[in-house]
Amino acid sequence: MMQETEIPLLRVSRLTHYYDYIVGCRNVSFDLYPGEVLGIVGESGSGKSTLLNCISARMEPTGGSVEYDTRAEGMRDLFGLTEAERRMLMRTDWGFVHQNPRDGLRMSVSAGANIGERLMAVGARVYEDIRESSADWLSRVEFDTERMDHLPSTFSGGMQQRVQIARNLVTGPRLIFMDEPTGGLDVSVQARLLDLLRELVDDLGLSAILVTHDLAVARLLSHRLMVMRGGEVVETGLTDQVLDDPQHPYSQLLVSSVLQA
Amino acid sequence: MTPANSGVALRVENLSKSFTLHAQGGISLPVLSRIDMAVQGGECVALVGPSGAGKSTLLKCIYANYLSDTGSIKMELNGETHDILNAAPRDIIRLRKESIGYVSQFLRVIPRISALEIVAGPLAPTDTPKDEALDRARTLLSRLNIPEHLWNLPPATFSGGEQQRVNIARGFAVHYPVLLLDEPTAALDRNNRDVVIELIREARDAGAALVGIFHDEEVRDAVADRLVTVQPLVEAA
Repeated sequence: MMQETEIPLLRVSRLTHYYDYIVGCRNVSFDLYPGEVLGIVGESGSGKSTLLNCISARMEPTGGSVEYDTRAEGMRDLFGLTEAERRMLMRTDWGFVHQNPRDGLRMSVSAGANIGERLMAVGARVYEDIRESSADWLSRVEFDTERMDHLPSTFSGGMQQRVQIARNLVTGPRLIFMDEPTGGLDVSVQARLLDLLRELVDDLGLSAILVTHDLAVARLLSHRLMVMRGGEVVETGLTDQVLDDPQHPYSQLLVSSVLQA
Repeated sequence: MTPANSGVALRVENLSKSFTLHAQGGISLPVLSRIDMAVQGGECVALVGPSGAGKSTLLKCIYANYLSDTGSIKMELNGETHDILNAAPRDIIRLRKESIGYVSQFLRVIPRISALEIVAGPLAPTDTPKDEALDRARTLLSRLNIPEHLWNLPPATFSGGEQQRVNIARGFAVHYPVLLLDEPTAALDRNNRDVVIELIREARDAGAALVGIFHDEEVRDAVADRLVTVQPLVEAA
């Protein structure tokens, strides 16, 4: 087949997490390749967020491994990195877009500072450069730069989400984690933001892992889908194949449960 | 005429496909059984058979939109053979970018994207310069008689026929070496139907391998070099 030698950006093997005796996720394995967007779908409590938190090193799993193709040293086991190395990865090469922008933003500093802060964390020091970069990223996410000195608390949910996205992209990450990125927004704002995310992911060639319970969002953004239930992956495949020809009883139920708008 | 893609071929062998409906007690509906078909570059094959025989299912299996049970689907492109049923999702995505196209009669509207951008969209990942892609989109939209004042609007509010024609334009934007057509002319007026016939012939003459479902016999006669019959299985069972 084509490109057998291609190296995955992320390799998850038999990842398992228990909350005491309760299964968070169990035995999850997959490779994510550069430029690939993987959607994780399933109902509430299916283990999507647990999985995302373990993969993104926000939580240490009970078992299994997560390896990442680091820029400096190639494939490394995430939990074999030092805390400092892991934090560096999270601040530069990765982004995490939370459903609630308040979880990803500092509400007490301006939009511009929220973005500049991430640049400073990787060593940027010249004020003019930082400000220019911040403004540039804010305009790329279609945020009115007139308001870059205002506090996020004065913005609408959609605007806050744009700032959060810009904050994540400013360091040129290769991998973005998204947890219901348009979940709390009304439909018209959601459509605009989805479209923006789709464009950014395409243009920047980003890899992404997207957790959502919204199958339309998954169809629009992801190349590949993983369906989870009870902490386990019950089906995985090309997004349109899983949605149009689901094989597992639970995937069939999930797809047939969606109201046609 | 020397076809540009003379190294193109699509081969379906011994293909079977059934649907298992878990919500209905796990009953299995066999749809395709032991289908064999070969299409060369520069050739247009029309699938014929009664409604429900599995013609669309066959196209969807070839496009990897549906999983097949057994058999094989292979695509030959410039000396390389691609095994569709065993390809990784990212390989399928790569093939769909430049090598295999699928045109149905339904447009999946993306909110806020203009008709022009929808048509030019498939050219974006093919390294076609943006202005060239937009030119190609304009040419297709005008050939398919979409009024110019609509080009910059999202097609959500267009009529059914207009949306269908935007979708056809999108399907023909990239010169795919393999092109699958699922009733592209259903419900089009004569004038636009003739445009689609022209587009199909152009693709074929440029060396593409085409497989289509055309219920309109006039269209079928105008484009098909050969017919392949898909038999319904239920009666046989």
